[in-house]
Amino acid sequence: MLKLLKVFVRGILTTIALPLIVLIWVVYGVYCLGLFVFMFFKNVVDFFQGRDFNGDLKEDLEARRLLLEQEKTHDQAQQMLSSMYESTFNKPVFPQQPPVEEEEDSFFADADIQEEPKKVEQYGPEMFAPEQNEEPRVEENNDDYGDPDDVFGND
Amino acid sequence: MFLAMIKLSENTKRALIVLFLAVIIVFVFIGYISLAVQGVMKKQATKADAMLANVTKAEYFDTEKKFRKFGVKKNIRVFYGEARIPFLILLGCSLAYILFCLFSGKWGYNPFNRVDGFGTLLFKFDWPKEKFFGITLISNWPTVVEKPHFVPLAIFSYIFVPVTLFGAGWYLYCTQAYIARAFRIRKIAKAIYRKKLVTDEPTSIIPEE
Repeated sequence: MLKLLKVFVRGILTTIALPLIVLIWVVYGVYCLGLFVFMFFKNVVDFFQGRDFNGDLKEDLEARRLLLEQEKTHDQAQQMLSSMYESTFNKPVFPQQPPVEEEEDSFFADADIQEEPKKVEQYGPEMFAPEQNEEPRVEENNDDYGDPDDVFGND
Repeated sequence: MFLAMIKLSENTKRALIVLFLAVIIVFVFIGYISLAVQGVMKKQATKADAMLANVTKAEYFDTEKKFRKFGVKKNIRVFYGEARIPFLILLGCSLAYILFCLFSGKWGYNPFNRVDGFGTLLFKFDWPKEKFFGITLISNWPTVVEKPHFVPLAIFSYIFVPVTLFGAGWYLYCTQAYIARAFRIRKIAKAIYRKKLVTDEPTSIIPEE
């Protein structure tokens, strides 16, 4: 509702300003017509003088050249920095030592180690049967108290 | 007190309500049209960004004046490129009109007239009007006075008028694009060269629409 109200107010304001808007538009239209005619004759002259009238302006070309130069400089600086880094940090500590190879990332190093596959327990009748190599279980009398009638421990 | 003295009949009340609703609908419609025009102009203005991207990135100009001058130059070139075809259409129509007048001998021929012009293809209505609180308003549906009919003599205007209107509309669209880009160039120049300590968008050089 608020949005509709805004559009309504905008409509009223546009209606009020419409004569001015149309006037500006028409004035610009006439101005642009003049510009067009001027450009047309300028281009005709340029054409007969052998100049490229649809090409880029010299400022544009210059700006593009500057950008390319900036890119080149940036690349060179990066190359220089990377070579400096190589020569500084990848140098062996002692001359007789071979260059230290960088360790592999632990994440990928761990990926190569293969663990033994775990045995999968299967539920079946053999699981509940006693194992063959197992010795028969002897029930031990763990009763340390002995005969309850033998009070003095004579047995 | 004054309002209480006005006695309105049921029909007048209904007419007033209808009038009120019609006015609201018309203004809302105009509002939406203006929003659409603004959207189109924003889209047209994006070309200015592309035009000035290289010189802005390279920081080629050191002053706002030089930047704007270059922007105007580029804008004129883009306008010239865009307005070539509508200009040729309008030029062709003007030449055709002159040739038609020359061969028919009717100098000052109005191609929109209702006798042998484009007006023969249009309806003509007679709107009944009445005075309402001192204002003349349309009071009823109109009666058709003239129906569209084909006149062989008006065949030139049947071609000339639509083509001219098309060309003129296209040319005005290009003019609108020129205006939109001109505003955008001004805005970009201000954003780049008038540095403020506190800005709305500190990360971007060019302000968004």
